[in-house]
Amino acid sequence: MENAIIGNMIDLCAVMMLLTTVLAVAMTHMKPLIRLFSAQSLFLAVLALIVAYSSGTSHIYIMCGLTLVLKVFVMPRMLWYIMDRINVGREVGLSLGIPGTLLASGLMMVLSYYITEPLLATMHTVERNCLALSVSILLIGLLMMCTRKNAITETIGLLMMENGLFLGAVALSHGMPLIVEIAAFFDVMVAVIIIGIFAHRINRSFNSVDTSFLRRLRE
Amino acid sequence: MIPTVIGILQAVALVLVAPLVSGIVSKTKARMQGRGGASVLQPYRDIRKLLGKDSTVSGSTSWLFRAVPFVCMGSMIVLAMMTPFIYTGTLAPFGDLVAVVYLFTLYRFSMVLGGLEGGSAFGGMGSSREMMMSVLIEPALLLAISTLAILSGAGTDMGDISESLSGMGLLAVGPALILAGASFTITLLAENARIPFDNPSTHLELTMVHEAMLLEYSGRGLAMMELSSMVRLTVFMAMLGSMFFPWGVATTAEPVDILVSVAVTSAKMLLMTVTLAAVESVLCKTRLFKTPNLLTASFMLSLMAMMSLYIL
Amino acid sequence: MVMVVETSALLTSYLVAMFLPPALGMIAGRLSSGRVSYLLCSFSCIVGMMCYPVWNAVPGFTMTFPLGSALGDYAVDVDMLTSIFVSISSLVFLMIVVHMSHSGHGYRPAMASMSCALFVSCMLCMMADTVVLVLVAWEVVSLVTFLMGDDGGEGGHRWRFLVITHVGGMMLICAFTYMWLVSGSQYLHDWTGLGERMGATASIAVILCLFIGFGTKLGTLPFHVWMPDMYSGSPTHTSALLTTVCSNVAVLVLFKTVFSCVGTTHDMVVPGVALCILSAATALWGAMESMIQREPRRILAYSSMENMALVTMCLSLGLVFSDASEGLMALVLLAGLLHALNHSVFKSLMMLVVDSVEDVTGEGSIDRYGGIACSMPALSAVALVGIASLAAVPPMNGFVSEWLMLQSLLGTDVLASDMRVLMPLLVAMVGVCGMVVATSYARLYGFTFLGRPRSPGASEPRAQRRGSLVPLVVLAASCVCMGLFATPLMDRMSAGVTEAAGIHQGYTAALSGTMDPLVLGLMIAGTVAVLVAASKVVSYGKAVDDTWGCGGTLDERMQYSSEGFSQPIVRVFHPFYGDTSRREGDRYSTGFTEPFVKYIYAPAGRLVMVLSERITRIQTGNIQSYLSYILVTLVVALLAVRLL
Repeated sequence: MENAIIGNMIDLCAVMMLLTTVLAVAMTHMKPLIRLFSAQSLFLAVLALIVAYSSGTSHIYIMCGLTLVLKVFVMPRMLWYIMDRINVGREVGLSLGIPGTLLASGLMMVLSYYITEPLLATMHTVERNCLALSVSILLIGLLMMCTRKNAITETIGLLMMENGLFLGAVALSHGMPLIVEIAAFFDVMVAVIIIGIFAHRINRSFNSVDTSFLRRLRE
Repeated sequence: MIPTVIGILQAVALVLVAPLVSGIVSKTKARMQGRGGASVLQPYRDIRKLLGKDSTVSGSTSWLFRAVPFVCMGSMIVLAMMTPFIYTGTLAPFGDLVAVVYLFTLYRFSMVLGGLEGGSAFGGMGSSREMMMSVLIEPALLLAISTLAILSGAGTDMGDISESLSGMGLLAVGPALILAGASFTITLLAENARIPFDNPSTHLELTMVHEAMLLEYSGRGLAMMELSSMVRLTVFMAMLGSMFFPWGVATTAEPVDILVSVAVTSAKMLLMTVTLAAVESVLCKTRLFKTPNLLTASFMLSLMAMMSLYIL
Repeated sequence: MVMVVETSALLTSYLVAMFLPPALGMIAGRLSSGRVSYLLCSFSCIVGMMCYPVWNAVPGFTMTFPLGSALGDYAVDVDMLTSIFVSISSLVFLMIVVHMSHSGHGYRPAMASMSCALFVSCMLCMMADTVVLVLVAWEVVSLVTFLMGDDGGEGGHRWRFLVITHVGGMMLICAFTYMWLVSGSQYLHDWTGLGERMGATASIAVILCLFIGFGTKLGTLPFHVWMPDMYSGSPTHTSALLTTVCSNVAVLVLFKTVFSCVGTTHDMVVPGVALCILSAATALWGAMESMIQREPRRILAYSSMENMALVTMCLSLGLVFSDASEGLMALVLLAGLLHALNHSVFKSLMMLVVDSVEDVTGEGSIDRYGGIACSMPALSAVALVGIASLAAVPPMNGFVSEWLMLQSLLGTDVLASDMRVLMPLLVAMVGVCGMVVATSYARLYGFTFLGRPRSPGASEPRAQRRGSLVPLVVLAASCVCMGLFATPLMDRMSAGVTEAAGIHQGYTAALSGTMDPLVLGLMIAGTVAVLVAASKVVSYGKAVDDTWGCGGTLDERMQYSSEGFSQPIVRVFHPFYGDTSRREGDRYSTGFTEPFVKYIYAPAGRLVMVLSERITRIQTGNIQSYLSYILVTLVVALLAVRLL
């Protein structure tokens, strides 16, 4: 009974992560987008906490703490900061309409449920949902990167993908080895910083962070 | 015998409490805006006054226009009988979820035809916009309620679903319920013409949807149209309260259970009403062509909810 | 022994009563300008309606006709399902023929004799028990509808119909002939369980051929392009017969061949899913396109496409469910067949309504109607019944079949199916389709009957011919009755379905919930009646005034237009519709073209033209070159014989 409830809680957090991802796809403004990202990271942290408690794996606590500090607080701050510095508009640039992207992300979800189905038979009930959810978050994040023109939005897509990856790792195999996790965290940190700098440069060169301007570099 | 009486009573209560719900929403909104606001009983007074008034109808309307208020009100009363509100043994042995969704279609269909009756630009505009939104709302509603039917495994009767879910306890709280609940909440706002989809208190040509269809009604017809849209809101809230979060709803006709359920349901309704008012105060009405964004999100959430059930 | 003689005598006289009068009617076309033919045809329709009672009375409803052909015998075999289909189709046929004979359009007398021919061929095709009779009757149905599509104009729509329907006919001939070869018997009742003998691959190929072959008549993508033109170009009664009776024939024969002859012994999930997706796409396409049409008949054409796609979706879901649950299979097949029957009733009603409206106003586009509800309340009331049935509003019959469809998609046994991932998508699809067509019908009704008249014809409609409302009222009453008394009808049909498809479980096993359409209908009607009665108790003043026009006076051009009504949906679903703005000089307008015509049919037509031009080049007209062609052919043929 207790196991079932814990399983439900884990499912719940994972689903809330997906929910925030889908809502993020539906957002037209930058600020709610960043808030949704920190909400998603918060759910990841809670999920990690529950997994850590139920499995008694101590290093997941560290991961939980790192997520909480870095992704819920630091990275959104950094994104705010970059946004302020380069005066990016409040609107996210869309290359495909929102209903279209949402329908496409729905297809991604169906796809991820469908492709993970053969794997599901071998798993515990708790983990089944998480695999499919993790794959869908990954795909939707990628989709977001494909369909948004703004460099900051693309960064958020990347971060969301990364959260999806961590979801899979934590829920299915109780996390990757600690060193890999920490390395991944710092990778992403560095990525955000680099993207920030790039966005700054793009902005300086083109007066916009619309990445479709980068096409001009071809010549 | 006693369950039937309780069934009748809860349907009557659902209809009678509807104006109060609207009153509380307006009062809370007014308070949040720093105004005193009208009394929570104001909708009752409005309806009583409208019922006593003579009516004026347009010369270009036909018999259909006069029939629309009755059909709208009738369909909402039937819906009130199907909805588990306080007690899961609903009056009707026909409380099928597909029937529920199609009753909403009946309501909307007749209202849209009524809107086209006057032959003015407003009615047509409201009807057209209403149908545009409903193309995305209805499927989401259908999927969200169907998800519950499959989750509970109790068939498609509304009362059975509620009873079975409240028996499942915390085990029912899973991805499907949360996703379907989120979708249903968005649907509630859209279906009842609330902010951010429509502003129930506006009469500005550019923005109105629901009100534009009611412009030609007066007197008794208007009273019925107003009351039926209030009942619609209350039915939605009752569904949200007793099907998506059904704990506390009475599953037997024991007096103690019913009393507890009345208390719990009142608390839930009050909470939802205040939340609705808060949501309406915080958000702003979006442009008409931005509403599909949120509606598609709701549609996707309910699709996902059902998908997660079918897969696992 | 005496009994046997009596039943066979009864059967003979029944079949003679059903088929002899229209056969005479075909010949008597010119007599008193077709009236004799109409009478004979109506008589046979009434006999046809008795088919179900006769089937009940006569235990073995089979008969071989005394005349045969070189290819085989002609025989009929009627089972329960066929008898129900024949009865309801005859009712619909009767109403259309009665309306046709009252029609103000003044049809040629030939129409009367051709409708006799159509009646014979449709009924024979449904009842047929030998492969030759099925194919011949089907071919005659196509040809007669082609001939009936003549409205004296250029007739491009008819030729398109003929070509596409013959592509389908060819596939059917392939499928049936192959089954004939494998079974070695020309009688369809010997074909039961033929799938086992054919093997998996052949079964799948035959099923695909059958679905596509009948699908050309039902408007399956991409074979639907003939529909809107045929419906709007030919006389309304022809389209009405085509979309109701002929569709019923196609659905019934498709069902019987697929589920009774080929059977589902092999794993049919993959072709089932493929057909299901094709049908779902067709339904969505039909619904979306019907939203933007201006002519009522084109709206109804696309709506037929949508409804028939729902039926084929149910039939293909029957294939998908065949491995999971028999109860579910029975339910979904029942849903499909019931929807076909319901569709034939409400669609014929709507077709006749459209014909009446066109007749009294003399206009052909919904932008030029309006306000007819005031001048013709009776017509608008029966039209409302039809529209409500089309839009699946409870308690009409359209609602019952959609309810059954959704029940089959939500059934708990679905979980046993491998393809359960598909179900939420299909539920969503049915929901979206349902709302889009509801919008389209609200538009059709609202702009035809409501508002203020938009043209002189609509403001002063001619009086209807006496008695021409009767068939409409009968059909409207059937819509309501088939909705309210759906349960007995479903029980009978279900017995037929289980018998034909060899299912051992009834549909009720898979039905969840306890809804009865009758109770629901009575509750709605009762509540509305109580409200109306209550409002009569206290009288109150009523005043009539103009519609509020912001202080000015409104004229008929200041109403919402039908184009404006569908514009929000067009804008939301703009990828479906593509670029809709048209420019003529300095005027911009909205226009839609079928992408299937633009991207598939037009290029294919051009290709054929280019090829034919190439071929004309070898037609030099020189006798020597023709002789040399013969020489070359001869040499090649001889070499081929030697080498192979």
